[in-house]
Amino acid sequence: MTQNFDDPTPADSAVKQRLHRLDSLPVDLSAFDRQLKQQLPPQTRRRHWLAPLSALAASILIVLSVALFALNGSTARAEPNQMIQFHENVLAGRVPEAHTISIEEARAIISAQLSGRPLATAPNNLPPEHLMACCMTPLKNKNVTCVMLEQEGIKITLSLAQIGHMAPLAGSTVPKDGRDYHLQQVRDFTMVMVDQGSLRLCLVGRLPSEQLLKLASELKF
Amino acid sequence: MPHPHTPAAEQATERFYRVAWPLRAVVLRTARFLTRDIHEAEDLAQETMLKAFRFIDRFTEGTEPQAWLMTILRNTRIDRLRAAGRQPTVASLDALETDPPATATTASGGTDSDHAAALTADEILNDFADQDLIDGLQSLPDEIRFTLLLVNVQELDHTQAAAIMGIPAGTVKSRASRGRAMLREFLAARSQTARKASTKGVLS
Repeated sequence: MTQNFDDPTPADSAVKQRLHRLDSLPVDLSAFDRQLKQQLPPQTRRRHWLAPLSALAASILIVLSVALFALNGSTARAEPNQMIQFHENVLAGRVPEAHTISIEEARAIISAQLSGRPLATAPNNLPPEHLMACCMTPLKNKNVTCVMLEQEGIKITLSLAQIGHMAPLAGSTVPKDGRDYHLQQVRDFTMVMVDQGSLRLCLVGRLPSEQLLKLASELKF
Repeated sequence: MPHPHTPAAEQATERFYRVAWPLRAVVLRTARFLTRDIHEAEDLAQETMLKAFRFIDRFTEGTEPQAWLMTILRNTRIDRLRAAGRQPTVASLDALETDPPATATTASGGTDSDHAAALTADEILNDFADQDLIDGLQSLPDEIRFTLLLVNVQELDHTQAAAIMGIPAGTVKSRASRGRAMLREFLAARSQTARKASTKGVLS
């Protein structure tokens, strides 16, 4: 008997879509990596994506996370308060994290975790088919890709989103090297926002604004 | 594991970190979907990554690293099952691969059309948690589950999945189609159970 497996019913297509969503489930690699690295030689050649930042910190631990910002309606955007809340969640260990040591690795994880979704956010050299917009359709949530930097023990969250998906900061504007950096202080957190191409980057951390501004100016996506 | 510091060893190490290491999340996630035991999943994923390191010289540049890792994962899983005195569940695969989806007898003894047809696409997309899907996957025979993980979760193409599993691409298609039908039946049964529990709660 011959069957046409390429002509699925709507229900079959739905199962396909639902199954593929599982490919985006975050995986906490921290314990796994620790165990694995005990049995592997250390990486010999590291390609530092943050090479220009080496003057700022001897060692930078990059942690990749995925932030879920609940949005209300199609025009809603991630608001500064939500960015702060996310940053606090990261600090409190409530967000699954994948430890990485290079941007290549961070991108590979983003690609692996978020593959097959429509374009929303990511470093601009990632192919769009590897990126995502809505991860929880029923709740109308939207994903923002985040990389966390740890600089001398202080964690900084770097969030990336398409410009329309992240609300601008209401604070002061500082022009630097032909770009406008937006600064805002929320409680003891400093926020710096800058646009790069179609992406909006937002840094959040308990650091002086000059330091965060310098960091933002050295990030290139 | 000894780590000699020869140029060749350093090159192999660099290759492993470039080719395999970035995909360890995919390996670990797939292992978790394959096994019901989280510790077994971590052991399986770890063994897979260590084998990838040991045999990194067998990886052909220009080919798909994910497919290569999935081949190692599958073989490692089979070896571990055999070592534990178990076999991958392949029962009824022949029947599953020849029976038409709409009338085949399902895992719970009913037919696909009994329950699965009752679920709409919208319900399938919106009414089930990820864990429901994972439970459904884990209720399937090993080879069907692995086929769905490759073809529908990771969205590898049928040729890649066929090469990984050592079966014809046509068999991959039929197994995937069958697996999705079984999954729909599982979800429909779960939905029905939830509805009954909810009704019972209202009545009591």
